[in-house]
Amino acid sequence: MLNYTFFYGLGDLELNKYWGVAIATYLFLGGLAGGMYIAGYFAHLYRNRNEVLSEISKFGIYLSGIILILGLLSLIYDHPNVLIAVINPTLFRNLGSWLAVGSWIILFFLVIWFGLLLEYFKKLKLPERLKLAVMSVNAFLAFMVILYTALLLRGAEFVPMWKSNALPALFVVSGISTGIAICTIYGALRVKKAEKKFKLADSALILIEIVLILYFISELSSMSNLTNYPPFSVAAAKTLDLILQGEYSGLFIYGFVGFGLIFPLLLYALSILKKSLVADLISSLSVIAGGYIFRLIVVAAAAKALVFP
Amino acid sequence: MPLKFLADVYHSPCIKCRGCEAICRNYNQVPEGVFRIKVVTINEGRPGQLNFPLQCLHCNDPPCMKVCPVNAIWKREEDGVVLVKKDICIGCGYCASACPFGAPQFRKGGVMGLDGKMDKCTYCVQPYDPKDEQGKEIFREPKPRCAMVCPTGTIVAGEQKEIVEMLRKRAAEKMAMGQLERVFLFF
Repeated sequence: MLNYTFFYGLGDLELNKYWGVAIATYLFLGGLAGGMYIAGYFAHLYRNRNEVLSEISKFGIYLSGIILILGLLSLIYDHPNVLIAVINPTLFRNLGSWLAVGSWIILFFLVIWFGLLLEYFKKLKLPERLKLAVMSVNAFLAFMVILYTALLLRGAEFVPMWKSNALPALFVVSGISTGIAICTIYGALRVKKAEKKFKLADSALILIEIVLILYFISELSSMSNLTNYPPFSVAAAKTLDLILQGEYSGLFIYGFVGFGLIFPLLLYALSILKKSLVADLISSLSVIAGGYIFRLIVVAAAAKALVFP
Repeated sequence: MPLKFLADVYHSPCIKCRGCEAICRNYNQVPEGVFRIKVVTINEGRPGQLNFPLQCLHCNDPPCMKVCPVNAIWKREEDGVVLVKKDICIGCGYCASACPFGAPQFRKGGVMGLDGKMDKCTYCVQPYDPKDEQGKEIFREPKPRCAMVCPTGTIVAGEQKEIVEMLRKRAAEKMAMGQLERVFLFF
């Protein structure tokens, strides 16, 4: 049976053994849901009579909540007592903690999403302008959901990888990119056509991700040369070693950068030059897989690098 | 005055007898799988090998307290001991990620493998089950047993100012003898 929770250790010290695959899945699905909603929202704004955008907007907006709920289920599976706070969100009182702030953001997002869902199934009537305003508010909340998944990690100040300034930007770009990718897949399967604007947007996001990854690595490298706090720099050097040469290097270089970024970028370029639905589907799938691999690495590699003298 | 722990690994190296772990488990009725104090070895089998007793250091500005979403972690004003309200804790594990010393512990057991309540060193103020038979919260004197039994004097406990001064003196002696290049003190 799949062990859904990682157990880590250096020597006989186990640190961060409580966050593993389930948390990575939660972070990934949170980002994916936010990205889906944003993709759906923009498809709704620019849909006009475009059949693909019309389908994508429905898919992105109305299914994003389900994806987010799946993410929450992954969290609850791993940490069942969190359910108490999910049922009674007033327990989340410490607004200095990103977990509490994020939980409120998720709650508001889901409430508005549910309202939009009721409107879709004609159980609720909303004037068109009000509906658009509500959708716009939720698009902002969707963005905050993605950002929260990174800021949650940033709360752990002694983990160099999570403390990186590039990580929130990377999570946001990756979340929107995976959201666009899943919408592209749906559009391609449903209407047998991929939206060119979406392909271009996703390609641009992948390029930004590549730049951010380089910045992320340079940041870790400079952290590893800090002299005023040696334990932190040792941990940063260990993280860098883990993702570039050590245990997670294969997953990071070939899995995330190669399969999750460069490969789909090439396929997108190919399909923009010469239309190919198969190429669109494969590239979108690899973007999604790359996003998940990245979350896994971020949780796993950080847990293996200790801040310790 | 804030109470603190420091591990004097440079002057009085830990010999990994694990007496601290044993007395802590016994005195605080800590269940299997939870370590309020744990002796760890870094650089095992390599130059710079060092044994190190790790427990909650009762930080002045505890990162675990900052990240706890439900305000279950609190710091006593009179002595700075960091404690957990177990009836509020939801076991999200955020504190375990925020603490650089791996102090927050979660017992494996119960539904889906976790009992959901964080436990950590309480400076011997509270046992693992912090309530007595009448349901009243237990508060004992802050006298950490690990420091009392440590045969090499590695675990130093007491008021922050005093123990930092003591460690500085010890380190200065070692440095004067050329046996030590640099010392890191952290809280």
